[in-house]
Amino acid sequence: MGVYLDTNIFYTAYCPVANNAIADWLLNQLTPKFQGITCEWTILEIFRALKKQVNLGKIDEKAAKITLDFFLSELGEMTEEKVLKIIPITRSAIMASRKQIFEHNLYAADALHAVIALASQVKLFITFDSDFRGNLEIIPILNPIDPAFKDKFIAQQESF
Amino acid sequence: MTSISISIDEELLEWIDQLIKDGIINSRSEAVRGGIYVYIKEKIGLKNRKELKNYLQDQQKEPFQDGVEVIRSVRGEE
Repeated sequence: MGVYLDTNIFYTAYCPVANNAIADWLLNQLTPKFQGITCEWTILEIFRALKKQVNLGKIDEKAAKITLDFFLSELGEMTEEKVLKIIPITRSAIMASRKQIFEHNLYAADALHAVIALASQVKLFITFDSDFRGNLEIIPILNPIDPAFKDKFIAQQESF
Repeated sequence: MTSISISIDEELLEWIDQLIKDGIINSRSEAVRGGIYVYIKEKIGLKNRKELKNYLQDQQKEPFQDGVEVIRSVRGEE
């Protein structure tokens, strides 16, 4: 049982940006009984997000590579400790995304994240993106900038 | 997962096996995988996210893009 973590949660936790503290807090709350769940596509998006910072002249390539190596090491540790599960992208997830894309006119990545969150039966979908448009059916979307975020998260965690 | 063979001191292997018996670690593979992640961090010279944040604050030439903005733009590139 767990919570789905959108890519912007990881970017915010690993980069010196606004809301870094709450993203860091969130990653520290994950446990084997209440895991963070994301998909392999998240890793690809983080690669591209860091490369964009290089292209925009925010950091040099060496710093971006160090950040990615650190990020991958932490993902490895978190998966070993079973506080994070990284779901592989399968053909069936891609096929299920078709419906999300056509019925809700989603970007491919939004559709894929939504499909994997639904298939993983997560209790919450956590994203900083208040415009996330994936159809998550009954899964509540929580934004860490919500002043009641910590209370809501802990309440869900304690219910297991 | 792929299996590999590695060279390791007999004493170190006995210690790992004792840690498995004591329930501290689950398997030799787990010990090696965990060791790799720690080793990479040690080589990079960053132990935790706080140190990474400090490193990036020193390195950045301009403020990073916000998390929502950058991931939205990555998804819009498709």
